Amino acid sequence: MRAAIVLALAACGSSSATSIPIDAYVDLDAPARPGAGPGGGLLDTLDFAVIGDCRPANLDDTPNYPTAIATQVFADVQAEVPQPAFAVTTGDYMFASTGGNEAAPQLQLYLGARAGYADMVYPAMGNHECTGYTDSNCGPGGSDGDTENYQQYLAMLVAPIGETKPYFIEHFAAMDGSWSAKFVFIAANAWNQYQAAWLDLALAEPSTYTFAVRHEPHYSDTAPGVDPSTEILAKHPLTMLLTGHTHSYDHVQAYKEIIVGNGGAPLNSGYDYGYVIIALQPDGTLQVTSYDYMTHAVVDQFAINPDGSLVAQ
Amino acid sequence: MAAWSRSSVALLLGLVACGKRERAKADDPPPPKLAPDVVPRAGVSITIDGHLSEPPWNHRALRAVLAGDDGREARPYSELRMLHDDATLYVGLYAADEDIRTTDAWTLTLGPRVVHVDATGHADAPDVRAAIDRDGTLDQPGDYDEEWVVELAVPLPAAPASPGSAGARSDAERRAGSFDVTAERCDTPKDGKVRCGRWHARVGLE
Repeated sequence: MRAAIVLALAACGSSSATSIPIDAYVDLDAPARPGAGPGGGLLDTLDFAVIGDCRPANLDDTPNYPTAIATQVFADVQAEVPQPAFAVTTGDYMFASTGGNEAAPQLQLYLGARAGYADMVYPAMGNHECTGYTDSNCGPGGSDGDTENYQQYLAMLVAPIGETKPYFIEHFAAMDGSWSAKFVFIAANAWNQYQAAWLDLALAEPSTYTFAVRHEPHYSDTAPGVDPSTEILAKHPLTMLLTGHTHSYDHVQAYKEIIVGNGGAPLNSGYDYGYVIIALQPDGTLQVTSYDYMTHAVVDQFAINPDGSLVAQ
Repeated sequence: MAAWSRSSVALLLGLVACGKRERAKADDPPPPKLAPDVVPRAGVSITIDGHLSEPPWNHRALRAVLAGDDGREARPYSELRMLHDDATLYVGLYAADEDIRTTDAWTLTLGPRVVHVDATGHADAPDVRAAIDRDGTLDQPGDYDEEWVVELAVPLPAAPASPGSAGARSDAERRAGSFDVTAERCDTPKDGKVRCGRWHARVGLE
């Protein structure tokens, strides 16, 4: 069965006149094909990587893009046993001025590094994919419009996974039908009423596991979509919120959140660069493991239930 | 110039070229690659505004990443960049920092003089111009900050014009005028552990 729900404009609860096209929809089922692809797919098990921010320290500093670090991180993920079926990235792939020409070259470097991992990568949008400011808002209805950074992000990272918007949903299900999982990608820097309505509808779809991927953590509430999406998330079941923005790793259980921002951007805490692997266990819980990219040392490890609660040790 | 001793002036004699600065044209070939211990000429006017936005900061500057006690890249990340012109040494200091405090500071040793510059953008030398760009809040431990960048203009000692010294110096001139640079920064992230980074080298001016 394949269903599509077209959002009625009236459902948005707004009478304000905008030029936003009414084409948001939610596709409810996992694509019926093995492996991760555009829209999701059918998997033997749920085992995926989370990789964080990757950008240079200085604006337009393409010559010093952290290519070597990103290359190592993606090579590490490729070398994981078992190899994760797909990866999600938490945003910020560039540090480019909106009036310049460095967005595409930086994304080329990122994609070159990312090519070390062979499977699908689903990219959340960060504030640097708008103007760079945390409070920026791009896309239809956004005060910052369609910046070069935003357009290149959509063209080079989003279009190849078959999506057209910075917010989207990916569906996965077990080959044997024993579980389903949805990954809801929130674009807090391309926030508008249609994304809000879409998010509410997307999260209402029942699934065994629900992951929300948003660049900014709960505390970065100057991003236009953080507080509104946090309110919507609170109304629905959530397994885990995956964020970045802070160039570090952290686990904030109060928000069912892990912050994975240490994918190559300048580190602002004591943690080294690294990545996270989330793997389904035979009992239906999920094991979350944060790794150091150089040593493969386990930085943090815990397990959660499908409802996001911690598994008692 | 008070902070620079006579010996430092002697050390740096001949470092400052008095040649006419030429602005790079768009179709100029890229400048030759310098040795990693040479501070390049900026070639353009540098505005001290806390933004390392002039292209030479990315394409020409001497760039050094501070190392931690374990010999690896310091965590939190700290980076130094340097350029110069006839009269001024320009220093860019990048500090990744999840909890920016008024007391967070760099210690910069340039030849015989030592400059401290903190996360308010204050440098403790009256002849040093400083500007800061902070991405985060000062002294608010309840949130997470990102980084702060300081841009400094440090006067170079005056040097007499020497005929024929305009433009790039010879290797011998660079060696004769080289000076030590040490950059140090300690920070306390939210885990409460003090972590330090350091970089040291002997550098010359292009």
